[in-house]
Amino acid sequence: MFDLLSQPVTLTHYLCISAFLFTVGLLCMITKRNAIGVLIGIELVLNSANLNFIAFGSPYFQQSTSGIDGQLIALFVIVLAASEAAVALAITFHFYQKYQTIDVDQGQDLKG
Amino acid sequence: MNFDSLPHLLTLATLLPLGSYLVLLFGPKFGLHEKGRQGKFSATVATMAIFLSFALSLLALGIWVWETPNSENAASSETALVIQTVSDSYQQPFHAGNSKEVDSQPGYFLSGRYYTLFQTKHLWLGLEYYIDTLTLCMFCMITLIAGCIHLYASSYMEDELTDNYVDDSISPFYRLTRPGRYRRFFQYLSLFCFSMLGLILSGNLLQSFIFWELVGLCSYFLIGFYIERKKANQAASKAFLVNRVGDFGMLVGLAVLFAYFGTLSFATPSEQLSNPQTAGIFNQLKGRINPSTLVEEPPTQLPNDAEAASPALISYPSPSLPYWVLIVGGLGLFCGCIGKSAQFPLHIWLADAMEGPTPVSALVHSATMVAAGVYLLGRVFPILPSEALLIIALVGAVTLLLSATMALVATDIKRILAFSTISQLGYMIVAIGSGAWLGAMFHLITHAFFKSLLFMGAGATIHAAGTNHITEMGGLRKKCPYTAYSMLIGCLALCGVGIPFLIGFSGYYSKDKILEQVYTLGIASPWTGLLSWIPGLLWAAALGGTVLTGFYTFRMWLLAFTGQPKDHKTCAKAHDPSPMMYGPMFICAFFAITLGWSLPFSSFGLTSLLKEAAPVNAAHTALSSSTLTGEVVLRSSPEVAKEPLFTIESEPHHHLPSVTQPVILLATGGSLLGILLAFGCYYTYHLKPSEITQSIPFLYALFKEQYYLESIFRILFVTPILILGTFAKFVDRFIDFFLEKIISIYRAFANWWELFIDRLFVDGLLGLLAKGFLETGYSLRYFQTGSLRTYLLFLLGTVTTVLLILQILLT
Amino acid sequence: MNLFTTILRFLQTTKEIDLPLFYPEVCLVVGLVGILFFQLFRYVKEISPFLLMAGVFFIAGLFSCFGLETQHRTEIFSGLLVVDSFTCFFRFLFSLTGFFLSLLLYLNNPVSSKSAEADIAVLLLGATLGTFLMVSTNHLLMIFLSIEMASIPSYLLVSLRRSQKRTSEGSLKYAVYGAVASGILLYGLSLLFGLFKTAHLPTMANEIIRLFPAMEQAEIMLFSIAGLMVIVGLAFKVSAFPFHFWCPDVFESASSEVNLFLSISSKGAALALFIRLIAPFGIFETSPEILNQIRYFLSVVLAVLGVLTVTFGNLAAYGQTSLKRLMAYSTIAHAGLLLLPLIVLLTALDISSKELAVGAVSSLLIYLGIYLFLNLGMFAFTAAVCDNNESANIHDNLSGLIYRQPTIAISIVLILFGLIGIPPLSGFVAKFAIFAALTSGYLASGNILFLFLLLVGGINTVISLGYYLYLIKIIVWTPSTTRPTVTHTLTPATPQTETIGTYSTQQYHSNFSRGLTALVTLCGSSTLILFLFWDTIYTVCLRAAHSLF
Repeated sequence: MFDLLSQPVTLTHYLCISAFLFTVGLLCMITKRNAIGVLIGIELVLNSANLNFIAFGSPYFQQSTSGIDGQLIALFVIVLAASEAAVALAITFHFYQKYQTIDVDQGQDLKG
Repeated sequence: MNFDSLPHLLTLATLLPLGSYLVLLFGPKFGLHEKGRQGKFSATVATMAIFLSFALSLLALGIWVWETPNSENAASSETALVIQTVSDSYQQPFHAGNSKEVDSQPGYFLSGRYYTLFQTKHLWLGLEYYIDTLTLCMFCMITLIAGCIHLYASSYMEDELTDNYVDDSISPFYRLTRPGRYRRFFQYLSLFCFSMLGLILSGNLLQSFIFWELVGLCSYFLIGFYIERKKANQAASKAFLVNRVGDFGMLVGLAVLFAYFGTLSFATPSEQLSNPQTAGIFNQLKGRINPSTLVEEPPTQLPNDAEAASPALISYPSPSLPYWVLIVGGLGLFCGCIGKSAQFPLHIWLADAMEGPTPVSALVHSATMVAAGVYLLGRVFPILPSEALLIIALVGAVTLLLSATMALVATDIKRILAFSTISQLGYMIVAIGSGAWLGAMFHLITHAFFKSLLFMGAGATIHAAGTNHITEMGGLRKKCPYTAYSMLIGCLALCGVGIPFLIGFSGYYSKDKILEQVYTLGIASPWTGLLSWIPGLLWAAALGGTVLTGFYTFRMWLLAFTGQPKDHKTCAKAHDPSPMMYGPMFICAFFAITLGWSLPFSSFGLTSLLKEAAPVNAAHTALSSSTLTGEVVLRSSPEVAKEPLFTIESEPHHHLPSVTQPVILLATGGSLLGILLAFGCYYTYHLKPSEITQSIPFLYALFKEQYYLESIFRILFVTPILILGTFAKFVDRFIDFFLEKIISIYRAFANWWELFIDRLFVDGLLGLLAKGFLETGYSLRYFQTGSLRTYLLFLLGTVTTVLLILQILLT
Repeated sequence: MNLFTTILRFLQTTKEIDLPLFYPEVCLVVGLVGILFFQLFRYVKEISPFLLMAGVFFIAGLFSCFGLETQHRTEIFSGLLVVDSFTCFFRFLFSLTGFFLSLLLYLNNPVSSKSAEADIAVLLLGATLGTFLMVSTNHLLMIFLSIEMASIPSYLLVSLRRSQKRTSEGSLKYAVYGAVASGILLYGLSLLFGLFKTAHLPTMANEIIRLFPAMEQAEIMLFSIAGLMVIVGLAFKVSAFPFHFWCPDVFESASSEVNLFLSISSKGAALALFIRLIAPFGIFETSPEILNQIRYFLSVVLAVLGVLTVTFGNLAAYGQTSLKRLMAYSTIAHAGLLLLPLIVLLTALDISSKELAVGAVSSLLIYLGIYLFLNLGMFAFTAAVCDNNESANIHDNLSGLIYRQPTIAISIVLILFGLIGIPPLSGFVAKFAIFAALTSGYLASGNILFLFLLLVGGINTVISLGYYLYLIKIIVWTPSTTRPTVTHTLTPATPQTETIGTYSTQQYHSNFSRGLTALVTLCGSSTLILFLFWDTIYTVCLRAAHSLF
């Protein structure tokens, strides 16, 4: 993978970056105790997928038969990510009101 | 409104009484009480339901008549139902060289399926309907009479409207006080109407059987309405049990017919006409003149017609079953009718069934339930072979005479009418047995009207005179004229009085039809051999029955309504009943008079309606006895039809004058003879009944004690069983001793087994298994830790594991 | 073609073809906007938004009936969505769910102010709109869009009752878990998009058939990773075993109406989405052997998921003391059972048997239809009882119910027997349909897997007896452990605690208004009625399944 660094930018570079972002986002979602941190992880994951879509849908990297589908999908995903973040933030706020903290580990009343 | 709606109308008419039953059943939960004004609400609900059913039945009849199907109509109509013709079902009669005319108007019927209960490749069970003019006429008759009886009963049963009904006929030592049961009476009446209408509408034998039982059940409820009276309980149980005995034969008959035909449906349902596997019973007789001549007519279509080669014609009726199986089936069904329609020897329940209130007798035991047997015979008439018809006719004749003689000496007015019902049912059965389908059905309908009229009048008389026995009544004519003269009309209709060849009451026409057919029984095709005296016997029985009918009917009327009252105290307070009671009587009287006539300037009347539904079949011909054990012989075999032993001809629509003239004269003469004798005995006192009874003491005792049949049955059936029981008890004692020994050994073994094997192994094993599941279940709860990050870890862990596995698998 | 004519043609198609087939969704949108709008006006806002919502669902249900019988597969909105009888069936099912849901909300009144009610109505309409779209997806974008559209409002719906701590925890867990799963799903979708360079599902099917035989190892690896990620995202919605963790917590903390929505609409839409993904690969004209490997892979994954889910759901329900949590595990078990016909579907596509495929899909549909009524009854009951007492303890709520409220008790017992699947109740028809599909699959293909699945299904029915019968025993035999005080008020009462000798502490209030009793009785009697008339429903399901192929 490291000889990618010395080559001109192709589709593979984009894919590697998005894979890296995806992994980072996933790890962020799992390991963070802060609720906002988890949301950051979600945003990272969604954005990595966006990057994938745009890269695959770009006419400059490969003969694409899908028209502007990739970029269109990316637009929609941005909107959805934003709304999801808004909703998740509202829920976090509600959580804060009840538990006085946004540490997700504190919410362990529901178990079994 | 067209033929499509007929099944819906009739179904609705059947379900309305059921709805009324449910409303009355759950009434008290919602505030429907027995007493006061609200008590009458029950009667209103039930009566309205039944009159609404009547309106629907009339509407259905009107639709049928208005849209009389003819061939163009049936072919091009937009109705979804295919109107099948009766002649589709079985061959046109083959009367070569016969001078009787054949009516070319085919009958039509509708049949179809409501609901499939169970279906496999070879068996279909469910609810069906079968509608022809007979169904419609029966519907109208039943709903009208039931409506009249409802009105009558709403006034008759008024003393049940209180909270404290006093019943002093239970015991001479005390009076019983109980809450009234007005609502329950109408509940049972509604349930009964529903069952009866369902029976009429049903399209297969199994459904008929279900409603048959239901009707018997309602009869049990109604007879035993006064549950505190021991006699009523006994009578109700007797009725039900005797019916069950008959039903046993009916079940055998049903099973046999099912084996023979492969289906219990009467006709192919309209939706399945092209499917040969679903041919109904009647359709399967197509292509053969009659099963007993064993000659197959060439099919009327070309040989390459698919239907001619269809398996239905070849496989059923099953060629592997001999012909006598069909006889067993027909007789089995007749067994059920013996029970339900009170023929000899199962007639014993009907006389005792008079323990129920009079409206019950009027509706159930004169017009409807006991007619159900005759109706069923009329329905399955085409499949009854002639041997069975012979036996049916003989049983009917015996019943006829037997019960007429018993009615001669009875003194309870309801008992006289009960015996009269049995006798008239015997007439109908004789009619069926002689092939007079139209006569039987016609007589059924007319009998329903005048008998319920007579019963209603009897109820009014009992109320007026305060006693049941005619020997204590007398001279009620002046005090209750309405009752007296309606009953007179009923009596005249029952005796079949009329001006010969001109006009008469309804009984005159119906009885004549029966007698004409009985008369022709041996004439057209003479009976050979040992059986040659049977037609004469039947004719003598029928004619003798006419004389006896005239006598006992007018004995009853004269003793009750003319002369001087024997018991002045009770008859002093006699009065006419309320309008609610004599109104229905007048309605029934009207029909008792006019039902035999057709509408002026047309030929439309009950007879013409029934003719449309008459089965079009050829003569039933019985073979000599050697073929009874043989098989169905096809045309190609060299064996041709043997010389028949006897033939039961089909009923022509109009008999020849050489038949009608003597029959009408003899019949009218016979009934007039009986009436004159009665007048002589009880009006002008020329003949002294007491002298007559003293001169024939043996016969008189025989009649009075109902031929000692109760005792005979007890000795024949009950006592042997009791003896058998006692004997079995003795044998049991010996067996018990040995059994005790064996049991103690067994018990010891069982104890040991339980201790060691059961508790340790089996229970232990099961316990382990159950505990294993429970423990697993409990332990699985630990997965749900409550921490979000754990959940996410699980997710990721699963995905990673699966990906790793994939990686390993793919490389 | 220049831009102008393209746009004109597009507008024309939209007006003539697309919109008429889209009426139910339009109805929902109009209702949504309308309810929001009505909050502005003084007098209009007194009308309960729940009733308005019920009306909207009713009209949407009516519209969706139009295509139930004869709708051919029509792609609308330039291939983004596809409408056929299958879609119409699900639209009708979800409208029915929504209708009963709004009735339940109206009868139960979980929140106090009308504006809060309007919020709930809007959220619910939005979520249902998402489920409507989920069943008609034909495009990768629509998969993600509709899943999000169905999920995001439900994250908010879970936190309906603001007063308790637990609802915030439950909704946070649900939101985060859902976001993670949808993130993974999206990444998988992007990989699929990249592999086959198209986002339109039928085109993708064609491309797969064309390209798959010649794919290299690495590409196949990528394909399987992408497929797995999509399955993860969908399995989250269906609450299959390793992805079910949100389910018990959410069900315990949310109010019962939302539980009903989640268990029927959400799961049903996810299953329909599964079918929509699998079905385009059943192009019977081409040779099916090309895709055998893919189908085999999918079958294995689904079989493992299904078996684990069913067993886990049934076993974990044993130790529960909370009625709502128990219902959550029961939902998980039923969802696992519902995954099994998908395997039959895959086999049917393998052997190109349309009859088997139709049978498998219709068994799933009839199961969902019957399950709706069973769940409706149970959740109506828990709504009236558990939500008002703020405690879902089984013993407190259920014991002695047969004496306190006999009608309700009998209906609940019937529903519980129906959930087990005992004849002559409707649950038996549903289970029988699925087992029949499995058996037909075995008879048609001879694959031993189906016998194993049948065995698992049978054993699990037996296992589920363990906890359902326990509930029934408590209802009928156990004397009441709380002091009964039944008040028929329409507002929730706050619980009071007092110690009365040996009884437990809670004073029991129930909120069984006449309407709720009628609803529960309706569901109880539906177990019998649906058993008698399952024929009619099955014909409709067959028609719907038929239109897929």
